[in-house]
Amino acid sequence: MSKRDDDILLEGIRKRLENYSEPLPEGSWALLEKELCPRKIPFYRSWRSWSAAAVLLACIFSLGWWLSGAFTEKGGALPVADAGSFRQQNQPLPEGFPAVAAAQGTAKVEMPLGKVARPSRSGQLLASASVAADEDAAIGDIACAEEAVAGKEEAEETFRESGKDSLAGASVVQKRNQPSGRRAWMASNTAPKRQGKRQKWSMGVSYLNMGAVKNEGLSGFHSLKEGQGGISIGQLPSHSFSTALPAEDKLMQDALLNNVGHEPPRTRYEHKMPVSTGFSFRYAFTDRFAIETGLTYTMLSSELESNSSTGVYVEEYKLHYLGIPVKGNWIFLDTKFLTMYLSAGFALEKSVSGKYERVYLSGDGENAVWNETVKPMQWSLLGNVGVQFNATERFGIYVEPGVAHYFDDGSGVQTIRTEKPTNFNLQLGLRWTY
Amino acid sequence: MNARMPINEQELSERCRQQDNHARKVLYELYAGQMLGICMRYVGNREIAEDLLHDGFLKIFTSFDKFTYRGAGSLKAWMSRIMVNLSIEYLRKNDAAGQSVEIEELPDTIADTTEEDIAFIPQEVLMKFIEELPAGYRTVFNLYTFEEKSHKEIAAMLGINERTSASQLFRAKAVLAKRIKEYVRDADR
Repeated sequence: MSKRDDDILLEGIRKRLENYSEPLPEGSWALLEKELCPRKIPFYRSWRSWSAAAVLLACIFSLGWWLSGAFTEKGGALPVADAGSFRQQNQPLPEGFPAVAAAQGTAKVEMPLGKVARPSRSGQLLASASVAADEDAAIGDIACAEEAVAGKEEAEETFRESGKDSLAGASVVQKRNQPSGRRAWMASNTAPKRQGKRQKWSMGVSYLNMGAVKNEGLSGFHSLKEGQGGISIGQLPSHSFSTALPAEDKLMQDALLNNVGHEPPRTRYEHKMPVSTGFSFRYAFTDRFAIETGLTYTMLSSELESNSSTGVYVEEYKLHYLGIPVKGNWIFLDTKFLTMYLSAGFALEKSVSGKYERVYLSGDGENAVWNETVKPMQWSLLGNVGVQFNATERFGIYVEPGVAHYFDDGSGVQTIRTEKPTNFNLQLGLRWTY
Repeated sequence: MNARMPINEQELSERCRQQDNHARKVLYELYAGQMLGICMRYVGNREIAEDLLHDGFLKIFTSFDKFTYRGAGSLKAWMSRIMVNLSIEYLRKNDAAGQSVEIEELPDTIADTTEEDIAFIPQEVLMKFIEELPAGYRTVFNLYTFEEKSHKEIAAMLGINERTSASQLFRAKAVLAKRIKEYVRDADR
């Protein structure tokens, strides 16, 4: 018998309280279970899953549209200087008209021939998009799966009885424990939410892209600008087909010539992939809502080429825009590693430099060049889903598949925005938050 | 899928090692009340004890790979040890384990108590007497009485000397005996 056993007081208290049990606080197991294994929500009931699916779908759709259809899509909105129209309006063509094609004229040369008569054109556009859609799939901890048990109560009771064994014989090796735990300590290790003070300001740089549009199978002469085909019948001299016809008029003749039994001209054009880059500032009013603005630079470029049996007609323009987008953001998910939001707003873009150039190269070596400056102003409506992967608390990489609607700018210049006023796009960027 | 209920401590511990949530729940329901009692006995504050219980079970469930079943009672003993260690850790961090608060009118001798006296007192009341002991008395009393530590071991654990440990135990016993006697006396009236 040990000394302790002799001590009635100590031994009595020890025996009295050996299996003493305190009533548990309500919901204590649920709280513990939540930390041990986050509840598994069926994917079809998880709004995160739906959001991820929507983003994934948008990305796939954008990518698919981009890769498959965009580059070979048939355009149809170009102003047409179609030989067919001339055929209808020039029925009473005189006999021997083709002889005019060989007529000598005064060439108006404003730029070297080599510059405009490109031997070849870049054939295919390359488009690539790297889209990482976070499916944010609920992690299913197999160990945490709820298991319904038949006869649970009886079995528990059985165990309860067998579990009331004494401490005798127990040999336990237990290393030093972790520091005193308060719930907050544990929470800091498990909570996925962003911690600390709300960060109000964000700054980002971005690169935006959308598909190109290409068409190689148009018949007749066409133009990238309304009324600029130069093939209006009204412009033809009344004494047409004289030998002193200026080069610019030869284009009109060309059109006419090809209306009378020659092979009709073939036109190809391409609205190249727009390039847009910029930086943005975002201010968060609350944890959920923010407003975003910034400055963007966009370049639109298109080329058109009509080949006839007697000459080549080329159009090209490059428009450089500076724009200010204004968007409202609704941040519907903000975790340590992932932020998702919806954005909607508008943008105003002003062309700060716009060169529109047309060249006609006749078969007899004469050519004509027309230069023009166009500076349209463009309004658009924007909407997108944003997914930001937070590499650190202050830095993230984001991808924003979205849609934009461009209003007619009234300039008459045919761009990808006039051909496809509502278009999908994909923006990639980096964002710093502070 | 129905899962068969673990029917003994060994199977239960094995299923907990495999992170079986149902087994974890059974283990919690079986032992959490007792573990909370241990924490209460050490820290004397319910809110802190509940926090320690929570952290302790997290520790238990994530440390099952370190547990070796060594016969009946070994699982409970292992869990109790974790709770005691967490409690001691908390007390040491808060510099409470070595506190020795002088209690006025402390008797020079320990009142005689009988087994009947102790058995007469409800467990909750006895727990309250312990919880109301100064932290230093309470810690030494718990380690000596329930963990069966020697004064040498207690001194090493708490960073005090053996004489202090013995002194605190004596004082704890004196206070408890006095309060037990008073309770019995008041009940007899």
